[in-house]
Amino acid sequence: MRTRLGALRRKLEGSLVFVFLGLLLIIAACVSPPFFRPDNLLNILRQASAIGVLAIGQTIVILAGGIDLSVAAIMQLAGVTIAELTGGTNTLVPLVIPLALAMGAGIGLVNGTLIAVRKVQPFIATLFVGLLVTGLRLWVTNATPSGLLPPAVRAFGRGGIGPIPNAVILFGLVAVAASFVLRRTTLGRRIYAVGGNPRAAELSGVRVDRVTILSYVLCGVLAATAGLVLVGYLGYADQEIGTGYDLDSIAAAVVGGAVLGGGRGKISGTVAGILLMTALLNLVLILNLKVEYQLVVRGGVLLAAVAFYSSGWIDKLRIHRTGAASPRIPDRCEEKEVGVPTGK
Amino acid sequence: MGKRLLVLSFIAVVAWGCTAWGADTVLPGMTDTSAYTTAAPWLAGRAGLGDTNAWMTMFGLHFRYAIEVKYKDFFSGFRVSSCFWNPVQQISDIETLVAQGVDILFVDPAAEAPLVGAVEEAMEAGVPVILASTGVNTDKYVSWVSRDNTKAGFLYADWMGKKLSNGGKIVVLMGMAGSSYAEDVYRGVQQGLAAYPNIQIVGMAYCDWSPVKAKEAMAAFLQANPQIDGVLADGGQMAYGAVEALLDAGRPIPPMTADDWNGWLRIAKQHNIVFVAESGGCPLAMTCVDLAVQVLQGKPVPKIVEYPIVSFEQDELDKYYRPDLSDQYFAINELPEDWIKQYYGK
Repeated sequence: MRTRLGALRRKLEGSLVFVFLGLLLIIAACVSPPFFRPDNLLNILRQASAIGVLAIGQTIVILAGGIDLSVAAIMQLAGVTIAELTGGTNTLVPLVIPLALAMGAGIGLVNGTLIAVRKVQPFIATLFVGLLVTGLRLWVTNATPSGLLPPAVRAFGRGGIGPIPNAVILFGLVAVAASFVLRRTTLGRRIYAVGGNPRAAELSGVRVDRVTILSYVLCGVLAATAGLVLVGYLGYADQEIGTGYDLDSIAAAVVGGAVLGGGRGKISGTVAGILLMTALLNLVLILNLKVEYQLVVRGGVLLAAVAFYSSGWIDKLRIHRTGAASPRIPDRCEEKEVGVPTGK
Repeated sequence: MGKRLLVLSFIAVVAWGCTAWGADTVLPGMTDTSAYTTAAPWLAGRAGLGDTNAWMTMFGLHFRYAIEVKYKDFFSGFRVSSCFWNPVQQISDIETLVAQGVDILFVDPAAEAPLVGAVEEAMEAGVPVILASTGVNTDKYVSWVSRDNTKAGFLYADWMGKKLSNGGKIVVLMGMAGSSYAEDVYRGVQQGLAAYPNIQIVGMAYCDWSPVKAKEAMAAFLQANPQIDGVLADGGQMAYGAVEALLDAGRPIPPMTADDWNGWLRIAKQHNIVFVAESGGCPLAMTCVDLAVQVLQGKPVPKIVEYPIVSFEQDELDKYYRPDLSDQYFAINELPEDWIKQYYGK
């Protein structure tokens, strides 16, 4: 009985963001019919794509027990690099896109090495690496990048296959690939294990430092990819495009059910979290709410979503059904309950 | 250039008038700076906001050009700090610059209220403060150079009203919610639109001057409103984002307001957009330095200098658009061509 209730509880916890997303869609249908126009739904998906790719990278890092505050700087670097090196023409695109992704990987490698080898706190390491990257970018470009984008990069944000924008297809592919890696591969299981209990993972033979570094490298590559999607969406590269996306990506992962301590969360939750945030913004704009009401509604709904993740009300549900409260099971042990293997 | 000469002439005439009035007499509206007289070269400091966008970058370049080139014999150095719109950081920056012994301090304030104490303390320490762009809620400064932002919003609205003489539905895209600059502009927009009751605002969003946020907001407004007859954007980058949304939706581009940002002028030319552009006033930084030289020479300076708003429309596009320069360039500026090409050449 207790095991079944535990499983129910975990399912509820993992599904809450979908419940909130569903509720939002129902409310939107009632108060704003234009919200459900196919064009608008595609707009929401397209707007969610760049931040979505970024949030997936952030989720990987969070699952491994870290956090990455340099992602916005990496996005901006990728966009500015593309504009500066291509001069707005397609000729060098086949070289420059891999270079931008490699830069993202390199910055991720620096982050991961500082954290895993030098034992710098992730918050501090990534914050200062982000500052360093921003400073270097401003220095090299004199804070005046060219801005022009090659048409091939523009295709990241405009155009698509049938009615589906390329950015949405890319977002979907990244989400499926990341979900597959996390759920079906040894690396994914090791990421969960390192985030859930690094000491236990180490004792189980997992190279914690390697897994940590790899999670930051993956995040760096995805941040650079998100940068390409964002400048493609807009049509030009600017120093400040993507400002604030670092915190937004963390928020999306947490709204989606990821635990900042690591070891718990899912890509599907992050995708739902980013869709919830983007759809909410779209809805308050369509309703033409005053800015103060926009902020209150967005803040309130998202706060309610994350507040429900605290399992207090689910514990109450358990009391109600069983007539007695069970002892609180520590989070880290819960991961073992769901069978997260150590990845050997 | 003409407007700038006008400002300088005004300052010079008023300063001459004050001198003629008498050594101990200062005209109303002027600041007596005799207490700040000191021999050149001077050390200048700027508690700035940082190169957070293209406008701020060009604004900073005007400071640098004025101190490093125009008045190079007058200044021994220029210390610049960047608070990235954090008023608490800017208070600390002001204290640090004063402690470093600057002879004159330029402040482009992150907010009006929080900086009162820091600015007043700098003045009490004997360092004359010149405010650039945004003001501070005190009268303890030597001069404040600013564009009339309410007037800028009013002019946007008036132009839109005349364009939509039969009325219509418009979208308004403003800068940062709560910033005194954005609120002043929006106040001007509301005042201007009051004369055109048949114009209805069907969508209003604060987009932090971000083209991405402007595009997202415009995309939503387009879904909710089958008819949008005008877009009133306070800046070229937000106008750019709005045009992107219109193009994605396959909708015609209505009359728009923007500024003199080259990226905007590029897309306006490309899509033959009917628009009015207002200068953001980057060159007022150079006026600040002109005033600083007068302050440190002990000449009276105006307490408040209103920097003129220069505007132009589609018919003058070719005069202002520079296809040989990057999007980050602003057409109305006071930089020499070699600096423009160095920083904005493609």
